[in-house]
Amino acid sequence: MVGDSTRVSRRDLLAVSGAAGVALALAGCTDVTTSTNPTLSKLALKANPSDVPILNGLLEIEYLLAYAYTAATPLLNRADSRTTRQFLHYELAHITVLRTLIDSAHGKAAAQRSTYPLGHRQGARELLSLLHRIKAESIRRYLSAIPRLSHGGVRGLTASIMANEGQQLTVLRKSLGLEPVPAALATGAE
Amino acid sequence: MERGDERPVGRCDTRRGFVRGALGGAVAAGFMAARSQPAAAGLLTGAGSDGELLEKLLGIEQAVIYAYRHLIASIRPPASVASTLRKFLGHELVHARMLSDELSRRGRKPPAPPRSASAVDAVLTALGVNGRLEQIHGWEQALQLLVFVEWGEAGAYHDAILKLADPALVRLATQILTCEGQQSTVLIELAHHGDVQRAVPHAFLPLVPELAA
Repeated sequence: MVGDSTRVSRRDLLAVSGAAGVALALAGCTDVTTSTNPTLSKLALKANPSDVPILNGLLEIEYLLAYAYTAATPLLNRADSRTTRQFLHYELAHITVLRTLIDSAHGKAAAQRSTYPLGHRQGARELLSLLHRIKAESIRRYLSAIPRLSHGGVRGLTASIMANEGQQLTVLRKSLGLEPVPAALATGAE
Repeated sequence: MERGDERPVGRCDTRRGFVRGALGGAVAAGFMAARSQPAAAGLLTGAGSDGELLEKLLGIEQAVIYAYRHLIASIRPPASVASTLRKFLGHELVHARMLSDELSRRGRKPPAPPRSASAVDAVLTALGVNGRLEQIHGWEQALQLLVFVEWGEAGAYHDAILKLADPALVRLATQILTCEGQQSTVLIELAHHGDVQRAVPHAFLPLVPELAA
C-alpha cells in the first residue's frame, strides 16, 4: 500500500525490469504481481501467438503512461497527485495483465525503455495536458488494436482496460476544465 | 491519499465489494441484484450472430433511454445535474441510432422500444440492477441508479465484444463501452461531489470475471 509519504520516482520505475517488479518497487505492494496475486494467477485466458505483436504495442503505451504518471505525480498539487498515483497503480495492473497474456502465448514481452521523451513541462496545467495527450493516444491505440485481436476473451479484457483509460481521460479532462465526455463514441481524438 | 482510502489494484475484489467501494452505503448496494455472475451475459444468452447481438444491445439502449427520460422528468434534478443527464441521454440516443443502422444493414428490424417503467425494470434486473424506476425519489438516488445502469450496459458491451465477428462492430462496441464508463465516472462524481477517488474505482471496466474470481 502506498501512503502519502511514499515517493514514486522515475528511478524506482526504471530500476527494475518487468511490470511486477515495477509494482513492487513502487509500492511495496504485492497486489499486482502475477506470482502473488490470486486473481491474476487464475487468469485462464490463453492469447494466440499471432496476437503478441498487437499486445506488445499496447504494452508500449502502458509503459509510457506509467512513466508519465510517475514523472508527473511529485510535481502536482496534493489533490491531483492523489489521483495520478491511483491511476499509476491502474496502469501497473494493465501492464501486468498484458504481460500475463503475452506470456500465455509464449511470446516475448516488449521491454520498457530506459527513458521516454516527455519534454520539459512547466506547471500543473502543462503536466495534466501532457497526461491528457498521452491518455488520448492510448485510447487510439486500443481502439486500433482490439478489433484486430483474434481471441474474443482477449478482446474483452483489453476492452475493459480501454474503458478504464477512458474513465481516466474523463477525470483528466475535468481537471483541465474540458468537457468530461465530449462525444457518444470514444475515439481518442477528443 | 489517506491510507484508509487506498484501494489496492488487482486485488481479488468481489463485485459487491467493488460497488461498495465506488458508491458506498447500503442504498447503493441495494441497487445491485443479488447474483454472483455478471448479469449481462444472461441478457445476451441465445444471441450468437452479429445481428442477434445488435438486437439485444439495442433493446438495452432503448431501456436505458427510457430510464434517463423518466428520471429527468420525474426527479426534478438541479440544473447542473439535469444538464448532464440530458447530455448523456443524447449519447444513448446516438448509440441506439448507430446500432439500429447496423441492424438495418443486416436486413433486420429494430426491436420495439419498451412502453412502461415495469418493462424497463425487467431489462435493468437482467442487467443486474435491482432498482425500480417508480421507486426512485430524489436526484441523488437517481444518480446512483444510473451508475449501476451504466455499469450494466458496460457489462453487456463487454460480453458482446467476446462474441461479435465483424471487426467494425467490435470497434463500435468498444467505443460505446468506453463512453458508458466515462458517463459512470461523471455520475459518481456528481453523486459524491467531486470525489475522483471513487469515480474510477477499479483498473478495469467492467470487472471481468477473469479478474474477479
